[in-house]
Amino acid sequence: MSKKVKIKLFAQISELAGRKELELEGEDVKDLLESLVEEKKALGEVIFKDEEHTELREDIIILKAGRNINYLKGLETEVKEGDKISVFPVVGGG
Amino acid sequence: MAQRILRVDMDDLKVKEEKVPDKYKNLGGRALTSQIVADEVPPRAHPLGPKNKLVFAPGIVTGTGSPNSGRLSAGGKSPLTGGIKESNAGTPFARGIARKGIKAIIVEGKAEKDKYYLLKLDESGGELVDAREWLGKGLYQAFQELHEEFGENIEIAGAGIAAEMGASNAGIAYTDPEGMSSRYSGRGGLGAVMASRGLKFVMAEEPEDNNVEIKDEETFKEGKKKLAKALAEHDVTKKDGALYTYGTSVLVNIINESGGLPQRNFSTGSDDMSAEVSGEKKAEEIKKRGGVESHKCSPSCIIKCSEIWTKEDGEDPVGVLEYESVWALGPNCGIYDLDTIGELNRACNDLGLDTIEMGNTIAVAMEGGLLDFGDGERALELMDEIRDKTSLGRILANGTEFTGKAFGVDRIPTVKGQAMPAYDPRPIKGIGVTYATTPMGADHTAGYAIAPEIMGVGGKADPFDTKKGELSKGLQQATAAIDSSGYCLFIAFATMDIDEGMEGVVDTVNGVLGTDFSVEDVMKFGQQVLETEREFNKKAGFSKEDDRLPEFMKEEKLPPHDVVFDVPDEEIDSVWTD
Repeated sequence: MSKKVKIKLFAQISELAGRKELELEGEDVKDLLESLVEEKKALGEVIFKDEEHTELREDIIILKAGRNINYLKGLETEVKEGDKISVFPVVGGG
Repeated sequence: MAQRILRVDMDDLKVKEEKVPDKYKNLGGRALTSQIVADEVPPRAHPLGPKNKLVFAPGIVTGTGSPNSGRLSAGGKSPLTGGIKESNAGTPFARGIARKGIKAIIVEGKAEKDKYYLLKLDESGGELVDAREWLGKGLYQAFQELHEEFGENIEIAGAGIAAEMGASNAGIAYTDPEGMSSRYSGRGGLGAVMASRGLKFVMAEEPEDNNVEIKDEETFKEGKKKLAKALAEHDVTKKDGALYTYGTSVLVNIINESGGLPQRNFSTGSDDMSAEVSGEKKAEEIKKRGGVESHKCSPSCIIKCSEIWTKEDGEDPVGVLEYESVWALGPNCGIYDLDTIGELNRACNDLGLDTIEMGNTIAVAMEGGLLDFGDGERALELMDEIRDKTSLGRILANGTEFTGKAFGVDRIPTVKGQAMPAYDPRPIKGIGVTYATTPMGADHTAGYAIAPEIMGVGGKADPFDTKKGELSKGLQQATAAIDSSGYCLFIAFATMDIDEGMEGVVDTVNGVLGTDFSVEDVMKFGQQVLETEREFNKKAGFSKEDDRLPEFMKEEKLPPHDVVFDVPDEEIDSVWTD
């Protein structure tokens, strides 16, 4: 069953999308990112490496409930109702 | 002109020029300040007493015009930690002294009580001039007056009102490219070391001729090209990249989302209000008001992570609002308004105080009941107590531990007496290992594990994984080397990922020194610096028991991830034993 999840966008990603937050539905992170790209076509090439959307770009950070999906199950990471996904470009600072 | 060391004797009020001894020839920046302190300061010396020294040293490539080569180190025994301190700054003052052929300035001895001087550097060394007319003045005004009196082109290093009180949180302020007192050797109280010698200001007018010697121009040029290419390529450092567009405060949102942005004296790692003080919000506001986005702290910088924050009407510039300052004076105090933070930052710059330590001090005072969390107005009033040198002001200017003790607080976020920066170590274990083990006290720049742990830059590491000894060690070694080079630490984002970039760094260093270092030598060089510092600290009384995080962080679970700092002591100690 599809879960309703909040997607938060930051820095240049939110500029490109023209918004900071949206609510989408999906089973896992891959579903949600694909829905995101459906809604905001401009994000397609910024998030995924390939047109088939099988691989994330190296310069994108995705958090699910505050944890980097690289250390969960990557794009196959499942989501719960009410979860939060945060999408960042690689940032730096001190 | 051969490079020289200036020895400033505050007992005799004489400035002597010395030849650079062979053992210092290949050192610069942090490597040089730490070596001189280790060689000349008794580790048990009182930090404000006559035996401590203050050393300024530009980096090896400072002043050469290589990209991002505008850094300088200040060093001494720290009144805050009681150990060795190096505090690195980006400022045109760095180039000002490097281009005069100055390898280091060693300030020693102690002037007569209540006498304060300004050191005017000139072609033959320098002269000490009475500076008492600037006592008790804010640094913004003092720097302006110094420019009016001595010329618009002078670069200045200054100790402020906090330093005049011998306060452990007094930093050394420097001119930024606009001449304002907004750049800092902030951490560790070196401003108090400066003022306790009787020195208020150092002034340098940049010379017409560039006296930085480059022994091998070809190799240097090659290196410069490689480094510039890497910086232009990497996502973090490139034009229109995150740092250029949003400044270092771009970190607020990601660290908040990661559950590691400490709120209200490290009581939780996330708050929805944090977005109000993010880099994105700041950039939006600067666009509306005027001020400057994408600003550089020193002439050679191509990353431009700085900016100029102003009041709402676009007037009254403060200077940069760094991520660390925004966090410390903001969310850690329960304050979520950039204008309040801007005014608190202005007060710190004006009084000569490190913002990280000041923010932590206020937060601990809030926990101790002196004022409420979130009370920005009262926080600003407390800064006036410091300005007026009241007893309460003196407590606060001495930092987090001192203030915490005065108010009976048992949750003090310090290591070796220095307050933690803007990353809670409980959900980000590697930065915690750095906080614990660096000779500097709780310091994030010393071994910036955030890069691999949060950004995936320079490697990829799960922030919740406790095996972080090796990671922290490697970062500390690389950092100690970069801190000595004269390059801004932010080049590391690029050089850690792009091999040619690191080659470029090594080529430029070899070009300047006429040496033959390899990339592999970088880590060895860094390790040498760290060993010198650890040796000093050991003799000053430190042991591995001081390489520990505060008790409350091992017991108290930090929301939202509900984790404690659980890196075992053996893993922490492996940084220095393996």
